Amino acid sequence: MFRRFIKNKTAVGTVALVLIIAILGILAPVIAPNDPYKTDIINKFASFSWQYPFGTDNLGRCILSRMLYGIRPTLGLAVLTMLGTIGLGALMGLLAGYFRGIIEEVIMRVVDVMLSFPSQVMVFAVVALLGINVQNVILANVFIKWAWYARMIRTGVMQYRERNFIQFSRCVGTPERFILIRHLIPSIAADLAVLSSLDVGWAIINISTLSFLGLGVQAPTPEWGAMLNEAKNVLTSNPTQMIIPGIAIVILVSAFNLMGDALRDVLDPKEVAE
Amino acid sequence: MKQYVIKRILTAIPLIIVISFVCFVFINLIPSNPAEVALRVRQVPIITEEAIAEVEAELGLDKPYFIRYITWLFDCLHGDFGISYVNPSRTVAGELARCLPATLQLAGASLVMVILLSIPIGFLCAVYKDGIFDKVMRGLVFITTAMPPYWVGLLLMWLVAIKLDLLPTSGNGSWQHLILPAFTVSLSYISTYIRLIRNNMLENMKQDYVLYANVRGLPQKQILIKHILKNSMHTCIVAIGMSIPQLISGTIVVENVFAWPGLGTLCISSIFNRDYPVIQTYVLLIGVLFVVFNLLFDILQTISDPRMRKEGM
Amino acid sequence: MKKNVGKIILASALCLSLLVGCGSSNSGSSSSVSASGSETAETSETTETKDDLVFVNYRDIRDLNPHLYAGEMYAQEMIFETLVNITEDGYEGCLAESWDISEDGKIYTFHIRPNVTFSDGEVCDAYAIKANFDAIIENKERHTWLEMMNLLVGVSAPDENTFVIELSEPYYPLLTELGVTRPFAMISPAAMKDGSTKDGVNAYIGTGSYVLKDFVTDEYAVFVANENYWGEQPAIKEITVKVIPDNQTRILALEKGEIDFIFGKNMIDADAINQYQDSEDFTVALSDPTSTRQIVLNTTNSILSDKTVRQALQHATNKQAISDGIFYGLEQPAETLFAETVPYCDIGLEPYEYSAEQAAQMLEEAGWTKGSDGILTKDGQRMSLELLYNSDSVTEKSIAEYLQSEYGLLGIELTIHGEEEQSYRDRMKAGDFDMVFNICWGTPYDPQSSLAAMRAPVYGDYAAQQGLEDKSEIDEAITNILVSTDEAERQELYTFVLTRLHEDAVYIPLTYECNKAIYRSDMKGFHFTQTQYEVPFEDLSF
Repeated sequence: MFRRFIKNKTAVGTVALVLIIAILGILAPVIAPNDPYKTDIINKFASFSWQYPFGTDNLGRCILSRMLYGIRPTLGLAVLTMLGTIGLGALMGLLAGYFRGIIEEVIMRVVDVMLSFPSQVMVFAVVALLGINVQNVILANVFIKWAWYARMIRTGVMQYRERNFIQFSRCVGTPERFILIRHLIPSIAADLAVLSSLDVGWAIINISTLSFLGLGVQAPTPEWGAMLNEAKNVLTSNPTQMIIPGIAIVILVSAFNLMGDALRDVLDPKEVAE
Repeated sequence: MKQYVIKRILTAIPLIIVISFVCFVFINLIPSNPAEVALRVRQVPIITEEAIAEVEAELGLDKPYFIRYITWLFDCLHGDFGISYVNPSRTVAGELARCLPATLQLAGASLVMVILLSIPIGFLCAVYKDGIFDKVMRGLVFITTAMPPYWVGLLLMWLVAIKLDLLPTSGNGSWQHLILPAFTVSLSYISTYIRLIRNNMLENMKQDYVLYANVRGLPQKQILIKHILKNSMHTCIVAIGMSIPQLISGTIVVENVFAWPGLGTLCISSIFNRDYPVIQTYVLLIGVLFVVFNLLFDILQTISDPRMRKEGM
Repeated sequence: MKKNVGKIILASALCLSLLVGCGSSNSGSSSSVSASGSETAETSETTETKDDLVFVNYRDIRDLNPHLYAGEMYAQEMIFETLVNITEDGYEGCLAESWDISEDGKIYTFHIRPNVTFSDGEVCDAYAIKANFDAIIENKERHTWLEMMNLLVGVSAPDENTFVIELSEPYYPLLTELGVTRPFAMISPAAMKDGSTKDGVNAYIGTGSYVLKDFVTDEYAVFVANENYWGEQPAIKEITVKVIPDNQTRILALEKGEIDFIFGKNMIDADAINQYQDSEDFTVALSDPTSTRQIVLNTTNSILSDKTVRQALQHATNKQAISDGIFYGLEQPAETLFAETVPYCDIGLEPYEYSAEQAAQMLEEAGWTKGSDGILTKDGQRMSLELLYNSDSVTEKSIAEYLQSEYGLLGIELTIHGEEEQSYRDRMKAGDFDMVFNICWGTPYDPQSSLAAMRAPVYGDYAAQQGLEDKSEIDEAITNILVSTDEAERQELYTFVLTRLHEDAVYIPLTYECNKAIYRSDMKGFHFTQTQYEVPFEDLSF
């Protein structure tokens, strides 16, 4: 599998790009030319210069530094959301798919209800209920997305549980918990990897949308969606403010989308042959 | 088949009840005491413990949970969703009724754009597979799926309305106001459906009946339009139909960018103002719409395609 | 089977087209208003003078009941009138032609202007005015911010031309309180609900120069000239007020000719004003300072209850930078709660100079030391404060972010939080804040009404001052000011109150706010009035 991965240029390229962006975010304090919170109010809306490579914003803060620091909330929160989603979804899916019976019935009915709500509206409802704040945004996103994973994993589990090797471990008396961890999880990991890398892109857009509307990451934390919110206020007088954060989001989300497609090719050779 | 339809409708009813219950619980989870809020709404200057107790009795807040739910549900069925916390002179039903037409208008226009753009483009992409048009379109589709809708809105507003001065920037009034927001809403759906139609047509092209038609020597044009497109459209119409409620809820963000006076703008400002009855009713409305549209198009799909009946449930 | 499918698809397509058709016909009907508006605008430019105007506001007119506070003031000013008007030179008769004040200053007798009718035909005589006062007094608790409500003995209408107000004490700002937009504006008794207005009114019927013709909530309101107006007919016959919540959108609308005129203190940001300073098509107007933009510190907060901390924050605030950087110098930095030009307020208070070093030193004296994360701590408590701002205001967020960064350098963790106007006011009233943006009321309310209101839980000031040791002393002095008859004594009391508030450092004055307007250069007659919320529509023409 690793060889197929190395051969697939898109897979390597996108993974490398995402890693570079992540590293830039982690190293932001070292490489950022300025303090992202330092205001220089007399110098607001400055254009490109050596001191401020991408210019300054409405309070005279360095846009490049804010972009670099902004990787942390933008990418970090999306990844965190996906970890939470997969964790909860996998737990519920495995429980339902493995134990069957009443547990399955209850979980799957809850999943049905969750899937019958339009996700966008649910995010807003959860944020409205819990209050405007970053943790709640993550909770809201996990809350609306886990059901998809639960359903997918349950289906996966059901397919695999009838396979011979699982039947066999049962016969030789391996404990149920062990069967779950040892056999089931690896067998559905491939599907998970593909779906979740596609969904990171979704999470990035979703979280930045909330920040853009003022319901997510709050000022002065530099987050790309929140930066676009500020850019919107000066759309007529300083339209260039909205260019850089927007392009950055498109690049990052595209990288994840391409990565998802590429991983599918790598992990599922049948598709490639087609 | 009748049986299936009835069964499907019957499964939708408990779903709607659960949704309504979730909405009811939702408003009862908010941190502030509804009685206290009611007093503030009535502009009572000094709120005392006795006044709160009095209002609690008046609003029936001292009754058991389940009874309150039934009463609430009953009121909802009569179209009484309570009053807005922020503007006590307005009812929630009135607020929604005021904003709904604008949102339907936007969602309707977006739907038309989705259909008018995605079907021909998807068709051409499939016919000229791997040609220049197909490649360019696939590139565009790929980029647009990675663009956050609010950013698309800002770009369009800046380019079309400010720079080129072709259309109004925001608000509503004439049909020109509708174009930019509707296009922004439809963009992500257009790319989804271009892909869907393209793949569906390619799939259909491999089917046996196409081979037979070719063997029979029917003109290519006729095969493409009369058989392949028609067969592919069928799945797409169902998919588009099911996404109507999503389209309606998807207007939230775009409405806010373009100051479109619809449900989305109402919803966001209600969140900021913590106007819970409005949010609650909005969620209830969209939830019910979702179930109803799913039901409608699911039945439609089953009726039109007997093969699906067994898989469907 | 196959046929069925076709039918169903057809039916669903029909449904869709109906849905869409429904939508488009809607847009057709709603567009007619704006379309006809722009049409007349175009034709008038070539043929006759334009007599309609498109104005803009950031929110709906809401409930215009003149006896309550939930409506937009500019609209209330257009429709309703009061007994007297406040002008630059003092008071001027409006619904009362003239008035007499008794020797002891307790009885005011108003001579009501004859032959004035409400726009529904009802006569506006002393009896109608009495009916209005009765309705206002019925809801007395809501109006206690007006000291006259507490001093009122009774009102009477001995005949149709005479209206009498009797007070228990002489009260010098009475005419001002009667002259402000609300609550003493007159609505037709026929529009009241059983003679009462506290639970709403049936229609917005006044005696003013305009009447409300039509409105669509959150979209627009149309006012037309009142044909039966007792005074001079205005040149502008029809005014459409569009609702545009967003600052950028308003400016774009002006630029594109969709609106003619933007007016207000928080309706235009400094960047836009700067942009239009040299424009030929549009004229920018700035009024004299109307009020003070300030931050109120909640003295009941455990951190802010320390006077030294409050004073340190005063020194930490660079008003000059806010004035230059955010307002391009359009709003001058403020040094005291009320500008020296406000009556009784030129008392030579010593301003808190900006000095970050001094602020740091004072905080250290107060026992705050920097922790490992760079935030000041004292007895295990972090110096973390929340600054609440009104998200409908175009500049408060920028100032908040600026202060956040500046205070951060001193080790003060400032979180900022924006709420929409209504919840912002609710939280302020409830005292649910650490620091909050506020604006003193401005002319003609300053200083008497602003100070009087500090004594009751109606605005944020009351809650914010609860932690002051000398709060009761200050309140008592304010009460004495209002009933004092001796000018020297009054000045002395004002000096006492203002000095105390200044030294207690409850308010961080930022800038002197002014009214701003941008309008089409062919619009004539624009000026600012004494009442800062009033738009001088009567005097405008093209």
